[in-house]
Amino acid sequence: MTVALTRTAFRAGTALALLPGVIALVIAVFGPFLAPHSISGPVGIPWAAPSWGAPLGTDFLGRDVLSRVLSGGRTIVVLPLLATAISVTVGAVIGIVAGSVHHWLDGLLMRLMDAILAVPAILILLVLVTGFGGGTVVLVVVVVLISGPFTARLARSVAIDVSRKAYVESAIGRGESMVAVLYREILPNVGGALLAEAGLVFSNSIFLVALANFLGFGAQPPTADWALMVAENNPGVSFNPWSVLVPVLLIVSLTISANLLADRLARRLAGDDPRIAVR
Amino acid sequence: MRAWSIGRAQRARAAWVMFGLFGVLVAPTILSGCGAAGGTHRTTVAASCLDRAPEHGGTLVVGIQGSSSTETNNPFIDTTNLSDALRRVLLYDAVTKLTPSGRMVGAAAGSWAYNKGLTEVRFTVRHGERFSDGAAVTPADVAYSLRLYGKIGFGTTAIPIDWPKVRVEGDQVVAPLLKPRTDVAENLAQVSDVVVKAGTTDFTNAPLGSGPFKIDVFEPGSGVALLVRNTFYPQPVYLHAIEIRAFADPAAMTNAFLAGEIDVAINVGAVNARRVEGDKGVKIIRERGALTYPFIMRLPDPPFNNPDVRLALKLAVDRQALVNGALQGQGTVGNDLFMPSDPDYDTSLPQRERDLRRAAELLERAGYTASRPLKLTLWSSTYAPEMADAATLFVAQLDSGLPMVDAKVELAPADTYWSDVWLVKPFSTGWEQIFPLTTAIYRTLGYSGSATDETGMHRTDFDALVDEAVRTTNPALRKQALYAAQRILWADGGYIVWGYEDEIDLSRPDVCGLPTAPGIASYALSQTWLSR
Amino acid sequence: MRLWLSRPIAGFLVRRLLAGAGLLLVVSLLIFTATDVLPGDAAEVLLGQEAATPRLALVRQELGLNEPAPQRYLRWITGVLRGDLGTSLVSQRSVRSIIGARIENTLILALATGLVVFPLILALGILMGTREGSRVDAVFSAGVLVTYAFPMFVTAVLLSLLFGVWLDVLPPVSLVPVGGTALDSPSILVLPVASMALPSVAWGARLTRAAVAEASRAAHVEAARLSGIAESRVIWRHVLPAALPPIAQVCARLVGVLVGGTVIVETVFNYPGLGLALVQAATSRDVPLVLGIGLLLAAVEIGAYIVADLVGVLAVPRLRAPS
Repeated sequence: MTVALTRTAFRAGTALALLPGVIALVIAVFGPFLAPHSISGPVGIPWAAPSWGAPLGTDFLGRDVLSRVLSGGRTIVVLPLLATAISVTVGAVIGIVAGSVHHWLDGLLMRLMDAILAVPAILILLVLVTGFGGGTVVLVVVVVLISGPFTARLARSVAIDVSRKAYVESAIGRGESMVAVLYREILPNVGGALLAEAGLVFSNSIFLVALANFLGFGAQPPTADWALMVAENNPGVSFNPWSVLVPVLLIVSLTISANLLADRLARRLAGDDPRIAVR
Repeated sequence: MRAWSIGRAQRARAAWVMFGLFGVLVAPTILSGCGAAGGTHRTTVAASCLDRAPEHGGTLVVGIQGSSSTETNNPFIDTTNLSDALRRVLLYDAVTKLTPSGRMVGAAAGSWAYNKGLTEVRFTVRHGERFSDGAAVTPADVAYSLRLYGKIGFGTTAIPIDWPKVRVEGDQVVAPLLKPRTDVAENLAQVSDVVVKAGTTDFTNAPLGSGPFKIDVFEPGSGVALLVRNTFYPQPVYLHAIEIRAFADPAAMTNAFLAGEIDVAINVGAVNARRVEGDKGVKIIRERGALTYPFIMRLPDPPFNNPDVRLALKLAVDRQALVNGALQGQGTVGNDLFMPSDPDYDTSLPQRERDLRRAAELLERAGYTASRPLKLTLWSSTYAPEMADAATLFVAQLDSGLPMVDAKVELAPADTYWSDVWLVKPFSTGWEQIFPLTTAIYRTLGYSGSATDETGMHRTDFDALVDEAVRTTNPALRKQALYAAQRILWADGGYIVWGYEDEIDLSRPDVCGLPTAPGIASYALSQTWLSR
Repeated sequence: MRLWLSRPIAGFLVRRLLAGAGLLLVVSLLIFTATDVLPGDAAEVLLGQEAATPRLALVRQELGLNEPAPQRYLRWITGVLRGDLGTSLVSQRSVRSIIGARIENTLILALATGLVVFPLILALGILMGTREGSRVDAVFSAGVLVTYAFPMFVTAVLLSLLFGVWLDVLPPVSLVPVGGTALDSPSILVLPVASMALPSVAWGARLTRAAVAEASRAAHVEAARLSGIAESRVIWRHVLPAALPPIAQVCARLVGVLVGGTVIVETVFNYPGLGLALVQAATSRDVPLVLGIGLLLAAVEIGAYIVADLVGVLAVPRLRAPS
């Protein structure tokens, strides 16, 4: 995998794909130092149109949108990234295992996934944050429970086919360990779908976290957070559209880059490196 | 090829990607910018309601807040849906009711009288009232309804009637009182003590009522009700029918109004009211003093047991800024008292102004400095967005205005706020809607015995003044007592009432006779008519 | 497809349907516990500020909330087995009637959206997946990703404002005609369908693209191409069957979303469906209603996944034979 990353990094196309995300990250990391106003004190009436003092206008409480946008990126990346990584890993492992063992474990794991999938997502979110607060661990668990089971199903649907292919069965027949087989033969074929899924889960988890905040859990006012800004300024989008659209644009930049990067990794994983190719 | 060179094909690809991105992102931005500047695109009817006699006929389409899946046919039980409350007012008569201008008049009761010791009130049931099937409304119906309301209705703890013992005597309904009060009739007008036929127990279908309208089509859960005129109603009703649409989201309701799908939108909220400001095609009905979100300081808990701290915080708040920021300017500045449109509201007290210097002095006197600041946690909730916004802004005001204060906001979820935070935490945000002043005092505003006494003031002189006020039938004495009580609340109490929110209804210009008072009075559509 | 009614397939269906019934029971327990465990109950929510008065105990008594949880669950489950889904705690009406008032709307919206979404997902997914890495793929991928990255509550509001209020070409809210259904006034479906379709198509197309791209890399596909078979035939006979299992999973998930995940659209467009009813029931702690709607949606999901797994089995011939 490290080989794939190193090779990928120098492709110009990849650089282009990463550009919007990098810009967003730079704003996220260095923005707070450049903010002209405080993020908590109003500078005008709510949802005021852009002016010299507030180039992006004001938010729903009259605070400077530019300052809040500059300060609102730090919380965006870490938690959703972590949650996505864990969720996709857990889902992938369960799905691949289920698809590769051809006995009762498959049925057990999948019925467990079905049970979790059948519980409405809103309930999962409410129960966990109401019971355990809006902390990092809880939100990660929420994302895992909401996104993980489908990832498992997806992984299984690909793994179950690959695992029955002749070369896989012959590898097992030769006595190779199950884990090695999973890693070498099955994972690369599932990798494409998993990486696509990871990109989508990342995109989704950003707003899942914002939803929890919006309901009153986790980050407390006056925390500036891009996804939360989108939610809290949405009622006034017709007064000052920038208060919604600028944070959305930044999030979109991040997620596009993440997804396009995932695409390139997937192609690397599947095609171009002869050491990983499976034919 | 050098690693960092970009070939022509790749450049072209990149250009396409960027162009696509640009288009998808910027187009809605530009469009929304244009749209925000423009007004509404409906033909407007330049009709005037003044100097015209009411015309009969037509169907009025009304939008109101309500979560349609929890709509109920039972007119007595508690509900959080305004759509249920609206239907109750239109389908049923109560003992007393509010007119569209907010005055209290008798409905099922023609008149009432209190006995000497104020131990009971007698309602004389009006003749000529009929249910929508033609059956007459009898005192037995009224008495049964009151007893049933007392068992399962909202607000019964606020009205001191001995509900199970309500009885009939001739053409009068006698309600024994648990506490001596002279304002029982006023309070009954504010709650859903509706009149149904005696013996009604099954509420799967809506029971018959004696109100101005009756149900034509209504399936609870569908979010729409069609009511037609009750032909047996004694007073003139001009509309042929009313169609009620329940909206879960006031923004959606306002969109529906702007596109002409509904004629009237009741209680659109501050943000949506701002959307139509200056729009000539919209009649904006502004009802002042409808709601307030006070900051509550519990007197038994430090640091609020120190009157200097309380006064300092009252002086530190920038009231107009909170009205602008939390209410979108759709409100009026408050003076740490409640119910400004109540006839007994104390208008003699001077408006408190922001005085940071004096506030700082008081806090220093109390022993707080920049190095040892007063640490405050102001609790609030997403129950109403104004609550959370006001708290956030007030904390920002405190932190920037007073160096010896270190304040922060804690938001609690709406579902558990009233049980876990309200009445529990020393510093929280409240929610108080328009109600008769005395009842509000008995309920939350400071009377010692109440289960929901918000500030825990426990002042026997205050209690005595309020008891005195409700016992007298002399309006001048009542006013005097209540003024004195409010002075105590203003000077020493634990409330920071920074402003009151207007209730704003939107209407097409050709709808006439609409209510002008907030709260339950704004549902009194029986006198509404459509001018052609 | 002569084999599709063969014994192994029938066995598969029977096993899964039985397991599905068992799952519903387990899920009902999970949903009940989840809603019951939440702080506050229906009485508190109904009473609001009045919950601090003695009325709380009275209302709790009336709503049967004083019974211990296992007893309430058992009472409910025995009712369900008799066909009685219980009574809503908040509105005192039968859960069945509340669902009945709204299920038609939900199904109409789901079907209308499905008609738009599924063909588009397949078309876009195949388009992008077979041309992985090309300019076409880059443009469409970027467009699809931007669409998915926009949260639905923003796109729904913008669509409603743009087409409903400012341009006034479509109704900004979806008011179902009195006593009728959404089909009586189809223009009210356009914007909700569009709002739901945008992220759904984007999500489904991305995963379909990955599946198609992966399937296109197989040796027999290369061989088929090299032997001169027309591209469309290659896709239809060689690529799609291999990509079908994950695509089926995607479609199954979407069925669940279209039926139960419509909260935002129902709020913004005021469309009386089951998605919003479920969320309202959960926030009001209306346990019987949460259970009723939750179980209905769970049954749809479970059924959809059984079909998806069946498609997976059928599409890959070697899986039809008992292992």
